[in-house]
Amino acid sequence: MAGLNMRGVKKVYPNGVEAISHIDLDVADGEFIVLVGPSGCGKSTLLRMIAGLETITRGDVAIDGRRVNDLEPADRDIAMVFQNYALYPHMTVYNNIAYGLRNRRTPKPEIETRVREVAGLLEIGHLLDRKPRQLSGGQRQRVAMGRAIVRRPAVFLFDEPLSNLDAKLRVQMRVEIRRLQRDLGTTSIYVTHDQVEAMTMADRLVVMNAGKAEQIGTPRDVYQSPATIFVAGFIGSPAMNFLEGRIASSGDEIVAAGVTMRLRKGETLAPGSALKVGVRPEDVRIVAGPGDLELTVDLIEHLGAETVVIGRASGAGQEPFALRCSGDVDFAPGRLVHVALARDKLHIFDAESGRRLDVRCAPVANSSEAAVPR
Amino acid sequence: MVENRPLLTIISHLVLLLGVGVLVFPIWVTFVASTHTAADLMSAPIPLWPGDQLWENYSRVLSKGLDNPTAGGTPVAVMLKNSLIMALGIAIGKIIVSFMAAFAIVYFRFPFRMVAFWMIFLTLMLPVEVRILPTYKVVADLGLLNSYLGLTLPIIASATATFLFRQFFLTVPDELAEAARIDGAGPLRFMKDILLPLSRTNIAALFVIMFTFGWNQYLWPLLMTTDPSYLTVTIGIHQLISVVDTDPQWPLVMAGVILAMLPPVVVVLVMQRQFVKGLVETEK
Repeated sequence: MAGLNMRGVKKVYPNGVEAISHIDLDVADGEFIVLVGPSGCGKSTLLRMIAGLETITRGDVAIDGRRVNDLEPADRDIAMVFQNYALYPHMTVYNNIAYGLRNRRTPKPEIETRVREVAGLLEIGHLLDRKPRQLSGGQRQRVAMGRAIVRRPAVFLFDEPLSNLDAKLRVQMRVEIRRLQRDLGTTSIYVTHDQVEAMTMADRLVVMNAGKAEQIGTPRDVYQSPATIFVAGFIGSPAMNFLEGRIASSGDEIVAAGVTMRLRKGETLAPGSALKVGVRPEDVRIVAGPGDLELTVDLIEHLGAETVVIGRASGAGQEPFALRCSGDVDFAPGRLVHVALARDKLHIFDAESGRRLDVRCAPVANSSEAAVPR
Repeated sequence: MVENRPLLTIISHLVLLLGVGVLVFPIWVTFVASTHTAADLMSAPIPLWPGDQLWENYSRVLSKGLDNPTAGGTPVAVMLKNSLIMALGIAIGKIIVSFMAAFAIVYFRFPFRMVAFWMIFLTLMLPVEVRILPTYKVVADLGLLNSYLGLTLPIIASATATFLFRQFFLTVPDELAEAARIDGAGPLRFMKDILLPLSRTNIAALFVIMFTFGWNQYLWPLLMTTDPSYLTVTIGIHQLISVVDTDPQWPLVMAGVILAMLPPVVVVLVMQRQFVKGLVETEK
């Protein structure tokens, strides 16, 4: 059991490509950290640097307070679960799990007990004599987990371990991995590009983009107050809607897509600068009378419990604009609907730097937003 | 193509039978010839069914060879032993050397790695015959003429096998090597525990090819052995035929030929089972 610290970690490949520009991260003992980001953002590279499969160009990685930059992967006290499981195809499940222990010269009886124990934990006791090719995807996944757990490492590293599974199994394994990690209390770093996995599993999220950590925080933090436009657009599905805006000359009002919105009392911004105003699809409501925007409906997605309406908003150009409403709503494409924005839930970003501005709009008094037209 | 038309089935069987006949008939004739006396073979209709001299001919060839001074009188059993040692030496040596060479080229980053690979690759274009004189000079200077080492060593380096192993290693997922590293297996242990078992099919296939190749070596043993006790069977057959002043003893020659043919056939049959089994069992 141990924490993990990264200080000014940087990775430049020999061909000059900078994969990681600068990462600082402190992981507490037993914490479950998820690295999430689009492909090519450097999340896998970072994980492989912790594992020791990639060299660290600059900065320090410490596991349990011990600097591991120059240690072999086997000496770092980590275990890794790979995306394609990387099970040794010619070995039985038992040998796959036992291999790491054998290389460490663990006495045979102890290997036996530990492998059986882990197999019991993962419910793969009956598969120990099989070869990996005789297993289903989910079972292989468990064996890969078993291979990691049996070593009792200080840190688990997961490299998109669920992306080869079908949707249903993924949900099931997601829960199981999280439960197991909680029971074992082992510090874990988990890489994924799937934001549902990221949101549901993480104690803390690291949202990465182009080799940098855009935001580090709890899933709630990241969702409710994204630090940058990138994070706001990346986390959440359907994605956040953005409206071009600017600060009115008075400084205490913003104008976005033709709507003037007052900031909360006492909050002001330097007038004139360009803004991006983000609004989550669930913070948009359909209203009977004139609301904030008019939406031309393009597409309706029925998800069962809810319906996603995608259209184009007046004053917001051709960008698609999504909103969520209850499952029984139905519109014909092409129809014009009025929508109101939950003013106090708007996210306001500086258009130039992309950073979040620490202001909120004041809510408007409830007026004409009661009835939802069919 | 899945079709079920009786006429097509008959025709395809006929064609196949014809092909088998064309290939097998000469061997059959050879076998039949090896079971008769020399006089029987010389009389008008050449016999097409085995005679009664099988045991006599074969035991004589194996133990004594031809009782003919010009043929050196080397028993075929000795020739077979020599050929076997040479073929096994070449096949096993080639597999070991090229396996390790390919391992080095694929899994290690060292200076001039690609140069080394291309040098090996280039030698593919130089068959034994082209480099035979310098090779002979080297082997002679090392005092390896008339020895098993001299017979096998110069032929052991194999660009083909190195190349095949390299191509196979490239298909082994990198994650496997990485998982082994995390599991605490060093390079040699990774080679022994993971790469070697995974290469079993390739090794079986290469062994078949290389054994046959080694068995059929003609020019190199011809040049480098003068001592009859190092005679290999491919050369021995030739010496069985080229007798002076009398007719060749055809039944004995044919028995020698059949014996020379057997080991590669056995290797192919035995290894083929391994080969298929390996194909079914492993999965990359």
